[in-house]
Amino acid sequence: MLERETTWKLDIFVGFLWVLWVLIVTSLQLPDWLNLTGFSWLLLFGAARWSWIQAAIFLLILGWIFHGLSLTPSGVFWLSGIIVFSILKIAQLRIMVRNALQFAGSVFLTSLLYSGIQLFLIFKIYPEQAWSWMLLVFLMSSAAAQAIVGFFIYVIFVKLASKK
Amino acid sequence: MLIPSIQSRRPWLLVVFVIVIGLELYFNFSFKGGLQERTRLIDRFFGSITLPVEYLIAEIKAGAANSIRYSADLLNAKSENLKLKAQIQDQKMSLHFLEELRLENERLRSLLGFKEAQPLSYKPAKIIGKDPGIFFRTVIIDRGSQDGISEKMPVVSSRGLVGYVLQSSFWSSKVLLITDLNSSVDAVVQRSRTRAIVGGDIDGSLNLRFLPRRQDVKAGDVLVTSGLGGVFPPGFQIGTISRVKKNPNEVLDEVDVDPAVDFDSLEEVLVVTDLSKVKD
Repeated sequence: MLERETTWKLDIFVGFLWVLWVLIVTSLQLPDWLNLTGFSWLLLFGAARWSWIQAAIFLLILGWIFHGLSLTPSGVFWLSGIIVFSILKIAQLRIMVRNALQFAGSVFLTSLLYSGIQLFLIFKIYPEQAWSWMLLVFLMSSAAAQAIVGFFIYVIFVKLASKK
Repeated sequence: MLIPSIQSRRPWLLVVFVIVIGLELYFNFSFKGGLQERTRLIDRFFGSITLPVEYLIAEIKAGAANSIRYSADLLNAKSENLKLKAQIQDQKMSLHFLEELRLENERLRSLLGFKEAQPLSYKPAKIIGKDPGIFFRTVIIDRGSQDGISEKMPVVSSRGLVGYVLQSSFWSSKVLLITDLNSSVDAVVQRSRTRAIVGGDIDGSLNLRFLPRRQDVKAGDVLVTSGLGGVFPPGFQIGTISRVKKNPNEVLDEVDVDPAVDFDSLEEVLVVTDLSKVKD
């Protein structure tokens, strides 16, 4: 029981940290090509810890919170999140991240996949919108930026963990 | 197990959860109306929580930046003071010239019997946040309902039209930019008086929507708000037509527009608080 409570606390704490990160990124007013919401980090963390139903509940709540700051429909956020989560959950049966570079690569692919699915869903909702190559630049640069930040997060996290 | 009770003890909770998810997806993917109609109670609730927190973070950030800037500003104060004094002299001259023009305009208007346009009331606001999503374009301003800001109020800058207030909380408000894909503005071409709808695109660009062929528009034409539609006051610059692609096989022309406002460097805006003067 005690273990369960600790698990709850850590998951909520990480969710809270992510919301705080999004609030800070929102106030930084970064350019369009640099999207640093860091949702792929959270999905990678979740894939290692959450079951499908836990992920569904967490993503629903986080989607509502995110919609408070962004116009991204919470259903689009949830659906794209749960699809990527499922892919990661299945992938982790065969693949394991062992170093910072692999983690950065995973963040890059996760971010690209997540944004790609979201873009597909938005085109479904807004069929009058036309494809622009600029979107590809936004997706690639944002995924790369998140991967770079993810690399440093991994290094810091490993150093902190080894000190303990 | 994170939530053991859901699966083992309370299966009805799982049913409720599936219904919530179903409704969530239904509302997100099945709407036909405008953005305002889509906003649901739950979205508004989370918006009213996150917007004030965003305001507090922006205040902390501004406080830290100000204290660093303060010491640097003190050093430059004297030379800047002299520069500003010279600038005031120049502006006094321009003001005198403008006053002459205003009086002349007034005389000519009364001669022609034109109704005097009422000046609009503005509330200055600072941009404190930007939409964290990759495909949507909104900004958060540091003025809310306590400053008299309410939904659908137009937002402009010295260079032109910015957007309108989408949601307002106590301290801050969310502004939908004209470059967002949900936005559409009733516009008129300044030169030919051709009416058109300016809409935002998913990549943050502007274009003319539903413009029939053989309309008198060309690259370099300036677009201003028409005042029709009831959201924006007339005469505010939206942008300049950058490209007209006429396709003989299509019913509509493809027209790209360069926004008048540089949204990447936008820091301060003005909220039009009394549009009724224009409507009257």
